[in-house]
Amino acid sequence: MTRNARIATPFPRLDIGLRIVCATLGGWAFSWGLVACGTAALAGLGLSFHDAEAAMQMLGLLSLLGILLWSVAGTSAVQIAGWLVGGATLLNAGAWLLQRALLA
Amino acid sequence: MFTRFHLSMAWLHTWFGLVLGYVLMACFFFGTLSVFDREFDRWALPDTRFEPQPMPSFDKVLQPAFAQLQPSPVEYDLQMPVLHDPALGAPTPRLQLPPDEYWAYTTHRDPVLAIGAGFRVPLAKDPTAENHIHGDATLDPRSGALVRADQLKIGSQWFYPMHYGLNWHWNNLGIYIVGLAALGMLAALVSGVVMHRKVFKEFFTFRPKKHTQRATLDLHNLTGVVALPFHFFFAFTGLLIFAGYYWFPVSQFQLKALHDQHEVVEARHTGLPHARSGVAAPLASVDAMVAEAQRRWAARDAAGQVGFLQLHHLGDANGYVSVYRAGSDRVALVGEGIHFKASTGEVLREDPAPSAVGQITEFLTGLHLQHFKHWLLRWLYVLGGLLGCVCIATGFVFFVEKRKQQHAKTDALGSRLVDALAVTTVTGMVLAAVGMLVANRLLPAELANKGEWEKWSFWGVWLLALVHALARSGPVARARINPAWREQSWALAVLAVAAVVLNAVTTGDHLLKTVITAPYWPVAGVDLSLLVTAGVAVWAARHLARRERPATAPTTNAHPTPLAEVAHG
Repeated sequence: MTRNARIATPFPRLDIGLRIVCATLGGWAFSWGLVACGTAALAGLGLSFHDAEAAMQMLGLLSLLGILLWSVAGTSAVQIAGWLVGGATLLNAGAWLLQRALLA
Repeated sequence: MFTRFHLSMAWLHTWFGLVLGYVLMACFFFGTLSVFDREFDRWALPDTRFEPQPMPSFDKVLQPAFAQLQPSPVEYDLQMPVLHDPALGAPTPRLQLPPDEYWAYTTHRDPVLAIGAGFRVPLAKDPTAENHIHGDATLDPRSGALVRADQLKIGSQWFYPMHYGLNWHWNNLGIYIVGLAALGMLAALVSGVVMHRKVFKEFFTFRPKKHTQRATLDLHNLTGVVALPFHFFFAFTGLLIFAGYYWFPVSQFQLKALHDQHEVVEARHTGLPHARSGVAAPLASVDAMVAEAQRRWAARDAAGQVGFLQLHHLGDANGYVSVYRAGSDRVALVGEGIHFKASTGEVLREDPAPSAVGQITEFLTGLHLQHFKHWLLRWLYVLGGLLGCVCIATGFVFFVEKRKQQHAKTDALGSRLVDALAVTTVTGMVLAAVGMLVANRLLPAELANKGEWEKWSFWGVWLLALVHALARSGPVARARINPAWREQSWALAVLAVAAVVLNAVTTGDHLLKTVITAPYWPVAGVDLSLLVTAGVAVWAARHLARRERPATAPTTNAHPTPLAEVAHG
């Protein structure tokens, strides 16, 4: 693992820090949104709430793992952070809207 | 981060593995011991060394025992101010709280029975909530007598919670740390496979005669690959069991409204009363309800032992009794509950077969929690867990071996510190566990709060191991082996044999008796495992002594390390 095999970045320590934040907090926020949105959607489609929740939790754990790996392997940490923040916002908003519609 | 994918994975594997490996070692080691947690309980509590018992009669044995239960004083002090509404009147004294719920739990490996009660707080802030303060006990089902409460079940109350929560209860921090470590384990497995790419070859590669770095890496790869599905499934199912608690409790927060609506609909659908009616009612024979439940299970061709029994809304017209089957005949964690009206014994509901998602969840959680009765499979779990420990431990050793020459030249402390922590989490952790067993046999049985003393002895031995490992770490700074590995192996051998001898002396249950004259495998199994541990520790100590000897001459790791061998981490 030689130094010149690293992708050039002006702030290497910041880059590693951002990747670790993406791998943990970013992955969690995105996967939370995925589980919430998916649970609401599946419940809306007629699945029982607990079945929807259990199915989405399994998927959420795989999503956590995938994002952790992607956060370390991806080309640009900033781009990864952008996708995660955007995705988490959209998914969580989707979950909120779906729940509102289902309870209406 | 790197221009090539496998280099990124190597970075992830090395650093996440190193930081979280110390926690994972505890999870795997104590998880392995938890496979036989009930057997450790028997070893530690000689009064409970008898054959496993089925759920006893409620009417004759359990009901009088439940009447002796009291709300926990600790929980009363903590929860009463939270649950009680002072505007409605004075708080009900602890011993006057009325019982609202009883439960009893057993498995096919339990001679003694866990029982508990939920006591109702009458003037509650939120009358729709459960408002329970709990009390529990352990019961000898043969006599109906309660077992002493201050005795620690070392297997099920210490080793078992250690593997998922590190026994670190402050804000449940231990559970969160283990959750993060389990995710790290999954990432380490995937990245480990990606960075090697010769999985099949590594299955058959172990060169113990080669120098330490090569042999360690071989063993790390082999143990990782041989039990790869086991490691992945255990980390994944462990995460899944707690997913709704620490990763995604969406039903408690974001989707609470939707969840609560579903609960109301479901309660209406099941017909089981959610709350008390306020009308008093007697209790019909629970034994008759259990007999009816067993008749219905038998009609489905399922084993008929009761695993869990629960009485809800005691003394109320809405009261009901739930009888759940012990799922010792299958991997899936089944319940197959049958619910009866408490006052008449009429069947209110029979749980339907689970949905497809429910079946998958039951199977995955059952796979981890292993309620099944299958001793060979249980031992395979032990083997898988120990392979996980070896994989993690060799990861530490490889990390140090790869860097210590370089660190010795630059006076860097990294290898020395990592090595000392590795000694503490490998030999030190086993020492702490065995030291606790020795303390259990040395401390007098009548000592008040004996369990607390045992816990302190566990932490004390572990702390000593850390201090010893740090104090003896000097040679690592000169690119040699820390003698603490060898010395702690000897200490482990002595303690393990001492535990077996002390058990024989203090209880009379020596191996000749427990294996031949009056076989009792729970105790014999722990004793034999301790002797095997002592044997392995002696072998390791002698092997380490041989490895240490040439270190005085400048030959240790003097072989130039080929590039191919540093590909890992």
